[in-house]
Amino acid sequence: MATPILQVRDLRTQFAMPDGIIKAVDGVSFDLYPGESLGIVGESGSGKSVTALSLLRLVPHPGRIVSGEVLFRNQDLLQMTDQEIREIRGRDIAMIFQDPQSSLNPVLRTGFQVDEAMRAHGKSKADAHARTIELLTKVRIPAAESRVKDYPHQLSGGMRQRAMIAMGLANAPAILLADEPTTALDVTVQAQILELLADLNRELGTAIVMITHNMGVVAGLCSRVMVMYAGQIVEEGPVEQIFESPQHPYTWSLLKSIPRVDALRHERLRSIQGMAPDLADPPAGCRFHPRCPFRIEECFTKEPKLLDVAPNQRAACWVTMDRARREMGADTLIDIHPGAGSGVRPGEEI
Amino acid sequence: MRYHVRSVAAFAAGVMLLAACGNTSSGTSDTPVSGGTLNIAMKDDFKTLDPAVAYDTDSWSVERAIYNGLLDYQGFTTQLGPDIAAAMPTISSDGKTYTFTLRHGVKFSNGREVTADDFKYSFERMLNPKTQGPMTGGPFWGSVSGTADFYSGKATGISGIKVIDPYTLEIDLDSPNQSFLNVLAMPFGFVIPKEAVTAAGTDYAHHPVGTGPFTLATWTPGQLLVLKKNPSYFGTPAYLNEVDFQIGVDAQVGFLRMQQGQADLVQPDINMPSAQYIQLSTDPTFKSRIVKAPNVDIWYLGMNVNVKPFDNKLVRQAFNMVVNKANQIKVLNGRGVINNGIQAPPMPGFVPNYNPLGLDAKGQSLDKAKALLTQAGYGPSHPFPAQDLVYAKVNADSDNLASAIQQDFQSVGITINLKGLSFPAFLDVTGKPNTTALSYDGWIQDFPDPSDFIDPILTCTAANVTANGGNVAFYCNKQLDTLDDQARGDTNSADRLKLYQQIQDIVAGQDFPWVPMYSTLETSVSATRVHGYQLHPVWPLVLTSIWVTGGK
Amino acid sequence: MTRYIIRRLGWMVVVLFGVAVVTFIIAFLVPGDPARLYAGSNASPASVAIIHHQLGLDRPVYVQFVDYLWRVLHLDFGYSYRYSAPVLPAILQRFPATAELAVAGVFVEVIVGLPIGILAATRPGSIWDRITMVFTFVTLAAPPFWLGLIFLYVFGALIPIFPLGGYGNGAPQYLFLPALTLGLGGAGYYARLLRAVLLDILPKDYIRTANAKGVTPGTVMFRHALPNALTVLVTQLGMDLGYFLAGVVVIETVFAWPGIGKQAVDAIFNLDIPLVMGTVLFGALLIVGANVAVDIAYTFIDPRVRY
Repeated sequence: MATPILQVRDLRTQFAMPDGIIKAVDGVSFDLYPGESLGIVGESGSGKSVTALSLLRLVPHPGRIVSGEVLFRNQDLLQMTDQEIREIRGRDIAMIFQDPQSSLNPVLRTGFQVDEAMRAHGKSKADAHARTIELLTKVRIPAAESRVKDYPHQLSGGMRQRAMIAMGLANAPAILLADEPTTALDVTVQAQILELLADLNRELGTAIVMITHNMGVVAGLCSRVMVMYAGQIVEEGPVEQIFESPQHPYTWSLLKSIPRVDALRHERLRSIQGMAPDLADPPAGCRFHPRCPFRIEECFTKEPKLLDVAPNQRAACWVTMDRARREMGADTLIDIHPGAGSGVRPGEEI
Repeated sequence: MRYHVRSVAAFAAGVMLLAACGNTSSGTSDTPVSGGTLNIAMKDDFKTLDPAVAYDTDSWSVERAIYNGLLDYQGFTTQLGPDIAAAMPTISSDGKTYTFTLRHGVKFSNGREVTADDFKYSFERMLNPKTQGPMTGGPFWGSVSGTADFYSGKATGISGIKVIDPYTLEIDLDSPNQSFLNVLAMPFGFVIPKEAVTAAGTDYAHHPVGTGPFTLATWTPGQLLVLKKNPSYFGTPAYLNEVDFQIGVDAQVGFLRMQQGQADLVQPDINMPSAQYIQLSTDPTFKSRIVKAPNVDIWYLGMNVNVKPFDNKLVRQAFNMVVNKANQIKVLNGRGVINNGIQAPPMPGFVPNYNPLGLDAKGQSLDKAKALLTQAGYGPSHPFPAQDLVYAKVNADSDNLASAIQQDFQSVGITINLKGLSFPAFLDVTGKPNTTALSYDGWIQDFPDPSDFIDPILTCTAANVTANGGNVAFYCNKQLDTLDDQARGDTNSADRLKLYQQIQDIVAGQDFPWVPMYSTLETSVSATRVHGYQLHPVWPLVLTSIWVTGGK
Repeated sequence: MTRYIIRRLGWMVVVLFGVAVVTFIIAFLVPGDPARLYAGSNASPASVAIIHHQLGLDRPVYVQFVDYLWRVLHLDFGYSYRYSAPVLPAILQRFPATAELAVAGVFVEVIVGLPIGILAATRPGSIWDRITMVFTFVTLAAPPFWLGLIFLYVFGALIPIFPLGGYGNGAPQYLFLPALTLGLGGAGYYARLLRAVLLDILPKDYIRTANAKGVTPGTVMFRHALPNALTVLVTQLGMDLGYFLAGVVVIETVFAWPGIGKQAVDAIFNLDIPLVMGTVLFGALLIVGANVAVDIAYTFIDPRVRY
């Protein structure tokens, strides 16, 4: 396999809040390869967005990256000066955001905002403008020449997200960080945007990091997926393999909660129970154990490491789903209360 | 004149007769030099320069420099002498006909010579109700024959003002009036040219033309009023080439300007504010430049004789023994003298150390006061009702003076509540009969004649008007009025002054409508380049004696 | 748009009518007889009565009011008792000085308030933030009269680099200290407002987008953040300008500035009711006018606003 374009090592980002330090990202490590399309999946609050923001040092106040390395072309982004990281942003690594309604500046014309992405990196006004129209056309905004003069509120939600994507692609970056780019859009537009991103990934060879809470989105776009829970990666591997055989009970439950056309009615109800943990004071042992149907005694005290569970697939779990299927009847479990499968302290600590 | 001292429309003047009061002039014995500009900082803009309308010291400060009347005070005295008149008038033996001969060659600044017709025009315009001047219908000119018909519109002119020939003017009175010459010397008697009034349309107030030592050069409202020396002035020319009144300058800033050499006088027509007085009287440069002179005023508590409990003379007498007058003067930084009578120093007929009630050095006699209150029926079983003291809040001292009174009465067990009002409200409330029982009042001269301290504030006439009278005690004693009428017509000045002293005895020693307290000293200061600056006993500001050295 | 402006102008007329009514009532209730003040405090009662009649003050109140409104409709604000001159020309004669001071004051407010607000908002909680907040607090709390006198004393007397008040036909050295005093008071408030608005704007998604594009912090602040704060800032400026224009009474008094504020104070002290009412109406006109101007300015500032 080729050399990774981005290597993240033991990244930790914390928020100093009045009631404690929130460890939003707590020791995340992964590699990203050129042209790859990586999905980062997790609930809100799992740290997936903060991970992406940390890569470009865009963590909002009062967040702070406390340790780790982010090696981009063998340079640690975290050690760069403000000036240096600014040159990386938008040029080598671009980012697009969840809500195109709020992520575009309401008082600036759309075209100008796309232009700016290039002019910030040295392109002339005229060149930038020409490229903007080209980009907007590429992201399938009709009548791009006139749309550049529109303000964001004059565009539809889908068009705004296309404009955002155009902005992200403006400098043909090596990496595009896409933070829930389709969440705010309706289903048909979602599909169009995902298709667009897939095309761009293919045509331009841009590596995409797709951050989403939706396994379906990952299935449609990504080749590899990372599952985050409570600031940590709990499972990672090729998309087909993970979908086929998730080894972490959290991944398993995420996949179960995707509504499928062929699903039985009761399967829809089998979504994960309980709430994401308090990151100021995370549970001891495995962070998922308070919600896990398959927990065993070790899970309460000992933190599992991310270990190989299959070729190219790693998971952080003392039990793993292979064992849960074998020994705890995971496939037929309807009630998924904590400890429901393993029988260890059933029902506690939801 | 109702007192509104040290505030917007104060009427202040000073007298230099009492050497004991300190310097009345500053400057040195150097020979006067001509030329230069005098800079005067004034808080407020001038109201008007129409002599028929203006009745405040700010306006009079300027009017005195640009106009003349028939008569004026000689130098810095209260002695009347001829001005545009060639000599003092001849007065008929019945005291009712005054004949003036005018100087020849007195010219308005527009170049035209002044004649008797101009005086007749000026007086009639001044008294015409349409002019809306304050003399119309009032007592000062009321004795001139034919004014009543003129006011009511029955006559188009005043029959008592007669032009005999261009240089002879006759004025007829209905009854003799010994203060009439003083009335003529007031600014209302200044002469103005008809053509200037016509030319100015409705705005003569801002386009004055007179005969005086200065003429108005420019007047930018709210900013600057510039007087220039009148080259064709008929009298002794002024030393100054120019006088600049800087308008809108707050007193504090004005004194800063003076210390920086940007102003030579600060609001010279009103008493220096206490804060500046304290500061400058310890300043090595300026303490020797402070001039003082009596203000010719009387401050008193007015007790409404028609309102309980002051309808009881014993109560009024007791009140006369309670106020610590020395303490009032202390509040004024020593700028005053105790006064137990109704006339102010150095008015003709003023009795020094007048003390009809045998009060102590503070102006009190507390034991006697308590005895009188007991005699009036007040005591532990029937306490004296709490009283409101109504006073005008015109400056920082107002509240302090009133609270000192409050404490004085506390010592004899009488509760006084303080009611400080704005000056307009104060005039309104105290002028209405049966409205105000007790008020803190003041009066300052219009002209240096004792009648001015009686006619407008202590007579039945002044008490009988329905509103806004000057007699705040609503005091009326027919005997006093008879004596006052007698004095007005009495041509023997010694006898006349005796009559006024009798009136004082009636008021301050017998009827007690007031608690007389004190008379004040005016203080003023000038920059070091100013010479010959003196406080005048009548005029708020005299510019003709001033010369400047150095500076701009 | 046109309909909107017409509607706002119609509203202005209603407001001004209301102001006229209220002012008239207050002026009527104020104790003291204007005729007495007009005549001078020691004019005889008979003279006062004559002037009372001459001024028409003995007519029934409603007649006086209807007469007043009728004349106001014809832009005749009456005749000033104190200055013996028509009211409207008197106000207009003084207005340029006030306008000059007001505009300069707003200028100072922006020049001083903007950087301070930005500095404080960029580093919330830092020592800079605290210093600037103390500064704004002091300027907010300092009475303008006191501040003005301090400035006059320090820069006029102690280190005499500026004149001790006065207008000097509007020359810059005369304008400086009053404009500074006026502007500083506003600047404190303005900085606080800007800080609050920016603290609201800076965490917004579009600011993050801008940062993600790699634009400089200056560009982020001035191109992305500030224009979004502009509606609030312009509203405040418009209101301040209206307020300043309507007469910065205290400042004009301290600095001997011949504006309408100083004139209004004199008018109040002298019960010059026509001048008081004229000034209040004129002031109301300016304030309401400034508000309408601000509303119209919104359409240029914020593309989302359409009337």
